[in-house]
Amino acid sequence: MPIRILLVEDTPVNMYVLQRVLRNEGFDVVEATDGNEAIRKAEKEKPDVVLMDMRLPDISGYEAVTILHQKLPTLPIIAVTADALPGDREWCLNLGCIDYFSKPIRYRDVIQAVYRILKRRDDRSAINA
Amino acid sequence: MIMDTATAKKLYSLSVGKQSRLLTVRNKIRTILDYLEIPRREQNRLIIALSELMRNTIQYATSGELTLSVQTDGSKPAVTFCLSDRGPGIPHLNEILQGAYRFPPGRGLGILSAKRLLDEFEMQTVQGKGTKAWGRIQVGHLNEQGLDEVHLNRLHETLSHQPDIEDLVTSLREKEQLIEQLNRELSVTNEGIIALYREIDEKNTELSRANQMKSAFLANMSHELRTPLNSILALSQILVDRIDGDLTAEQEKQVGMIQASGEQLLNLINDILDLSRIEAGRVRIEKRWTDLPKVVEEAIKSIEPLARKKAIKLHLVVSKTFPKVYTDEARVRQILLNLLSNSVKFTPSGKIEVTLSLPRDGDQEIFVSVQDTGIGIAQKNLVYIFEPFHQIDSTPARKYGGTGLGLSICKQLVELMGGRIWANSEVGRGSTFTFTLPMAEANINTKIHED
Repeated sequence: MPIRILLVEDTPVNMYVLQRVLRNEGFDVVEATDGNEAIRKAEKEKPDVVLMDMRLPDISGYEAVTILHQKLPTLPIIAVTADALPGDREWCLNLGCIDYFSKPIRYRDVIQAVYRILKRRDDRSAINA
Repeated sequence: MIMDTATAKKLYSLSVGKQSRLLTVRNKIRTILDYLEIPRREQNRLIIALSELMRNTIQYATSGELTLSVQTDGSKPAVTFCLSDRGPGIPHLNEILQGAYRFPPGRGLGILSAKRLLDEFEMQTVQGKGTKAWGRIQVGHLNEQGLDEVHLNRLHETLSHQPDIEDLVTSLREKEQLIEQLNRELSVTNEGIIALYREIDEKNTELSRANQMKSAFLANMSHELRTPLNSILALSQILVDRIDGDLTAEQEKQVGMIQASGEQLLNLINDILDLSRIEAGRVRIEKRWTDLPKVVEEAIKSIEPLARKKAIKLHLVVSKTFPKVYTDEARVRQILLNLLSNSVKFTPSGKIEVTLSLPRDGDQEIFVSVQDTGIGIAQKNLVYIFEPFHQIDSTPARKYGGTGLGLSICKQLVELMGGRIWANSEVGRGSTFTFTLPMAEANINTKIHED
């Protein structure tokens, strides 16, 4: 089964770019363009990882992360955001994001992070099994 | 006539003047009567009577003369007085003394009550010449020993030194008024200070609101610039990675240009944010004991790939026993990287040398200089290079790229750490940028310590 990514992004061009490189990588991409859609699809589509833009048109990515954490505590969320001032990284990680990338991103770094996070998860479940 | 009595002994004379002085006169009379141990009841009668008469004197004649005497030859000792003035006289005095004068109401009542309080009383007035009043009051007791010359002299001495109560009262009142006035002034001043503080508070609030707005603006600007930049750079990368097919050589060159422009834009955004944050006082200097040569070596290492492309050699010149320096390592690194990349940018070939020097005698600063063999800067431009966006005329800026903010940021950071920065240059031979770092107290004391 391919790795399933929930891609949350409200800017159409950025959505196009990211889904293009993720699909090219062989990932299964589920798209959401606002926070509520992200929460709905996270519950329904059972993604392996969420790539989360932090500024969204309805609820903020920060709220969405908090809600997702309550509903799906084991779902890894990677912040991919244009909030890139000092303190923004810490803010996202404190909120419960497992990793943080500031735009402009190097998408290969983000793809590497997805692999790294899923490998860690698989290693843990192998130990537990 | 009472005053004709040969045995009357004069005690004291005093002048009766302004209304305000009546209290002092009363007080002196009281002192004399006390001195003679005259019982209080009789003292009071005499003093009240005299007060009324003196008030009269002041009213009709403005001033007069009072003489107090004693008689000790009768069955009972007595105190007598004579009160005279050179005023215009009191009209209708005889009717007043007989209690027959009715108009205007209240006129002459003082004289009548004085008459009633005294055992004997006579009063004469001559129109245009003056008025005289005599009175006598018998007293139950009188200390006759006090009447000899020695004692009387002592009494006079005492009376002459008796402080003028009215003067004291006046001076007290003046002081009180002064204090009141000072209090008023103080309260006005206080109000002013309070208003000033309120103003400062308001200004502070305004200022911090403005600062917050500026911060929010910068954060939003940064976000809004990064979002499309993300698209540009990631799309370029998609093309370079040939995810959707191959590129011609020319297309690859074009995409490379898009990427370079995007990177340049990103640097500009980062520099503007840096500068704004420094200027807004949001950059904190965090000093720690720092191995400066190591920081320089790391900076050289990270700039080396750029230098290698142009065959520029990078060196560090430093003594083997360089002490640890108490400074902000991250900021020093930022400054060094800025200066080094600047030097690489403006040096077509040759070498770049970083020199660390310890303070010479008397100095309390460490010198860090970056010297290159580049194109140099004309003397007239040296003063401008640390100003924001003042990259020397447009030609080199276009040719060499860069935001024009790097040196500005360096200057701000150096000054934030308490140092100075300047440049020396010769066109065609190269430039030397030098900045200083203040020595910490501990540094100065130990001068050079291990490692």
